[in-house]
Amino acid sequence: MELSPDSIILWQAGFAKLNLTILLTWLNMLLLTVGSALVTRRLRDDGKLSRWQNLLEVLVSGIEQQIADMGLSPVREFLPFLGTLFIFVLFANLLAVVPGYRPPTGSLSTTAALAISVFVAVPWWGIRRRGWGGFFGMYIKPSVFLLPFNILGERSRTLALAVRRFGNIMSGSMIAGILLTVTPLFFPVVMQLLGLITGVIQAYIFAVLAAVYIAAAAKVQRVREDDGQGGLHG
Amino acid sequence: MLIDWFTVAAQTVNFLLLIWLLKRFLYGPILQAMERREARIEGRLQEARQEHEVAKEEAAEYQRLNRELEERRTESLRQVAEEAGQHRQQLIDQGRAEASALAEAWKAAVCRDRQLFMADLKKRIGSEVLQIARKSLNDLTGCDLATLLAERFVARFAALDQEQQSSCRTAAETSGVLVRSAVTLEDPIRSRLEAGLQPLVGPDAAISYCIADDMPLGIELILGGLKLSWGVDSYFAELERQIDLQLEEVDGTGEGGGRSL
Repeated sequence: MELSPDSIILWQAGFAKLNLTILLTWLNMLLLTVGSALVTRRLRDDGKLSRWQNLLEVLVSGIEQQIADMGLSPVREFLPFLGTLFIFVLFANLLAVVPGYRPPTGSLSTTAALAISVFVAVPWWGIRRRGWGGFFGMYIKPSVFLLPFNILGERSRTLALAVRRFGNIMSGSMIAGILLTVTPLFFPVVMQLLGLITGVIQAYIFAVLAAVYIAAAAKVQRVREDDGQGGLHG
Repeated sequence: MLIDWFTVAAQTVNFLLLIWLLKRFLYGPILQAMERREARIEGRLQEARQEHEVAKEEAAEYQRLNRELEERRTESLRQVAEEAGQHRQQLIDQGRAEASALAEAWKAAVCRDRQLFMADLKKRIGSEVLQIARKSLNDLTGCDLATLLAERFVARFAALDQEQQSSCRTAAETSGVLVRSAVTLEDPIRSRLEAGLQPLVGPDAAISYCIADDMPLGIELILGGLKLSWGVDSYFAELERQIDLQLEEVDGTGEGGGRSL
């Protein structure tokens, strides 16, 4: 049994190769892009909305609300990165119920790529918001002696993000495979349903953690509009 | 090796590409559609607020107009009532004036009728009395009343003082003598009358005669501007005065008890 779809190589020319992970990612991208394009091609802003437009509006506005709750502002600046992170992971995990489909998030390479993206995005927004001195000054706070620990914590955080994602998805697929060989009829269906739930939760956690890291770096002040209280978060 | 670095790089590129694709085909259009809808809803809300304001203003304007209309109506009713009162008073005054004029006209007519009646009464009474007196005198004594009257008249005329006779003579010579009588004087009477008058008025004075319808009994001599009368006019004047007094008493009683205006 394969641990990762990376090992299934469809085409290779020297260093470059096309494995199942990349192919399935392309498939995901194609489905997401074409689906979005089909729905957004006939958008209506008055009268009765189509159910697909309704679904996408609920999804986008929900992500916007979550980002706003994290204290990130303006929301539109962070929506493409964090929203795509959530939608990509969610869609890959949901498609896991299709027989023969191997979610690309079950590949450590994919989760590492996503974690590296977050690892780059955190200082990117941190420096944009606080400047070079402001951002790197965080590493020597509260004392310069904590500099190695801060760097270590930053790197381990990225690594944990990648491994957590990989472990969850890979273990889910693997448990389903093992149970399929032991009790091939009923039990794997239950595990698949459980996998769907954990997939959605993991997608949410991944996106929220990324948002929290970015918010911590950017030190964005969030103003709670509902009770009028303000405070620093992150 | 669980991590294939080429795959990591490819997936990173794929992820960045997906970010761009979703931004192009999902977030942008969806957010624009939501913004347009929110803008439209906000516009409708704004429009509704404006229409609400307009409706409130129109309601206030309508209430103001209603109040003005009510005030004008009250004022018009008051004016109409006032004009009606004035018109009523005017009609009453006019009616009173007309009634007063009618009463005045009626009084004038009554007065005129009374005068005519009195003249007629005087003539009739005079005529009747004259006839009765003449007939009774003729039957009882065989004397003619006209002759006696003429003789008496000549005697009275001759009894005038000197100055009066002189005036009469002057007047007779200037404008002649006109003898008016209630009845036609017979020639013997005329001769006796002329014989009695000539010494007084002179032989050249022209004497003419005429019948006076308004004279009940008597003879009247007109000498230019002078007039000598011998008859029953004073009795009739007294009779007329008595009748007038009686009528005035009757009018006073009627006016005290019968006027209603």
